[in-house]
Amino acid sequence: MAENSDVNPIAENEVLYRRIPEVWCGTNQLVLEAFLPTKSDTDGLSLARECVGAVGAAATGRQGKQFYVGELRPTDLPQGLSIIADANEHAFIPEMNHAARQSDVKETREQLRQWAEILRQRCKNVLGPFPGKAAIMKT
Amino acid sequence: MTTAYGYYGWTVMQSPPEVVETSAVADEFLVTASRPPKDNAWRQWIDKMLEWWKTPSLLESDDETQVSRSLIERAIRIVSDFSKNQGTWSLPPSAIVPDGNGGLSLHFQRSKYRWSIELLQTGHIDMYQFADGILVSSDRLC
Repeated sequence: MAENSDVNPIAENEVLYRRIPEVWCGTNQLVLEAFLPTKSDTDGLSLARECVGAVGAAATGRQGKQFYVGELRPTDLPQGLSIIADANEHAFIPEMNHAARQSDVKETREQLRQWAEILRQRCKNVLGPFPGKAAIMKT
Repeated sequence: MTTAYGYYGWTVMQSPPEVVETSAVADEFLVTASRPPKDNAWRQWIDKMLEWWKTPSLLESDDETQVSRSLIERAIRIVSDFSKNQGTWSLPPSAIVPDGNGGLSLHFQRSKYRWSIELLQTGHIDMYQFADGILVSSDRLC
């Protein structure tokens, strides 16, 4: 659902892309880290929207590195997760944020990893690798 | 029981390996880690991790949070100890990856069971066990 009236709402069957560094995409499978929030996922797990395309989603990654792109749809989200579109090009899952990953509460850490495992399993189509084109991100 | 790499206690199917306290510094650690384990898969992982220890920037992925050498050392000690075990922990990792936050994660898989051991930048070590995709247990080992 869109928070801003200028942002197109997310369709039920819209393709959403998770950018995955090459190191997290093994020969046969994705690792859990592909769907765990990092420092850049402060508001939630970041996803590129369908209009960006897989190549475009990878291009937001660091220049000089290669990225895979995992496809998800809103219907892949397990119970308890929501998705917010903050731009026509970007959406995020607010419950899966970096603070939750760093939480001192065991149940919070566990829930996050359970969600990540579900998304990992439901991400059936992984595309790439494609090159990143973004300047080095400061953290 | 506190070990050289600071973890104790296990909740999985097998008792932990016997661990010897060491005060190895970097050079001595490299000698220890270079003793070949029986299995080539373990050897390959340890060799790769030694390369990471020499050049931590090899682990950089999508941001600038670098995995520290001390954390890589800790991971090598754990993997090296695991390589000498029998039973559950005799299987080599299916993946060892940076976690994107300056930590390293060790992943193991056997049939429907998956384990991940997360060495966090904070110094904590967390273990998670999945069966058929369901989280069945987790522990903060240190």
